[in-house]
Amino acid sequence: MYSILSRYLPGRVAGTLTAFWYVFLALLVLYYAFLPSGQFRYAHW
Amino acid sequence: MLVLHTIVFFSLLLLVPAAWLLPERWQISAISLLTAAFLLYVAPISALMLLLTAAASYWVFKSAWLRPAGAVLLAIGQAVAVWMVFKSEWPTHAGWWTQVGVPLGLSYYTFRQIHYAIERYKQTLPHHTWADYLRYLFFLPTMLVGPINRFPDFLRDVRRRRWDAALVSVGLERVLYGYVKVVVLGNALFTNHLGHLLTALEPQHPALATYLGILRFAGNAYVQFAGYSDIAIGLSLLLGFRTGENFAAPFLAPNLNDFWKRYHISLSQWCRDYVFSPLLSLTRRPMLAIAASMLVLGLWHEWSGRYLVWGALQGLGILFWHQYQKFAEKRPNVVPVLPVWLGVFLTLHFYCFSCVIIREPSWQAVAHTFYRLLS
Repeated sequence: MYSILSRYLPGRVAGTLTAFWYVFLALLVLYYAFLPSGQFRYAHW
Repeated sequence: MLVLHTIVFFSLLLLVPAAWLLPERWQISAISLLTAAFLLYVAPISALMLLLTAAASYWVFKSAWLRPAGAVLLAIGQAVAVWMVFKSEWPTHAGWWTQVGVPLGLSYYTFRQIHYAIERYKQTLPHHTWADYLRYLFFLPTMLVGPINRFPDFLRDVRRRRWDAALVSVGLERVLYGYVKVVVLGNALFTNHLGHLLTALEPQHPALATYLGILRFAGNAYVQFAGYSDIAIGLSLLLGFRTGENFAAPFLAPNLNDFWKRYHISLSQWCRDYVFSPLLSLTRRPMLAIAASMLVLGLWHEWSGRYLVWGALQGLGILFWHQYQKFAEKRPNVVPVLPVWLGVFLTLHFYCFSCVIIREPSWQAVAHTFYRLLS
């Protein structure tokens, strides 16, 4: 993400936006991972 | 069955510190020993099966009684036999092993062992020991859900790996993206929310609900599997290993041939190297080699009639595309060249519709699904 953003934005802005992006995704995963709808088990291949 | 979080937390809390904080000569062995301990704890039978088949596929080449050709046949034979016993869905399938269940990661390590046996027979492997081979097979990030990484690549990384903060950053990013695919897109969106939506839609619009259900199954399978692969690749990077990509936007492929170069790449490449290329060399008949490759690719998932037919359909699809290409080149005025968007649309739908065969539990259910689609 940072490598894409840093092409168009100053390094510090790109870094901050990337950090927010990761926090947003992590919170999204945590929210769903602890709901029954997000529970996941390895498929048995 | 294992919860994803267990593997990820185990890797982050134990494997990654062990891989970098221990003295260098102990690092790789520590990864393998921790993997073995993990497997012994969650699935002891799986650990035993992996160890036994690994021993058989390695030590058979040390036998003074066997020639190399006999050794490679025996190594492949034992791996395939074990795999067939546990992965068979034929009507005759019944025995004590049905109580045991399928050993974790069986399909992956069976193909890794076959790869090892063939490459060892061809004498293309770099110098290695029994411990190196065990380290290759007992590598937690890729052990259970692939990709089917290759032994020479693994050995190269064992020798070259160095701490690299940029690589660790990329690894953490891949694990996060993998989690998003599996938990948010796969489980929450495709499986649950879309599932509820289709259940509500079914009474009024059964054909539309069936159609969307078919797309949902293929989409869900893709995001889940791509998510596992991202997590496996990310965890490998955290340990200093570069595992090859397993997916490259397959649903944007303009034809089925291209699709199978982008979907489950490590399996497609395995089939290319160990089924397609040898058969092509032997018979000089590319169509036969393609058909055989796709049959093996289908049966890898499960030794059953439905996966046989599914694999055959993929093979027929690729053969049809090759014939169409040849015909279009010969008669450009008669046969139109498909625009890319139409190729993408047709490829996506061919794949999704073929997956009805593996989604439904019986042939009657498959027929019923298509009947509902047309009703």
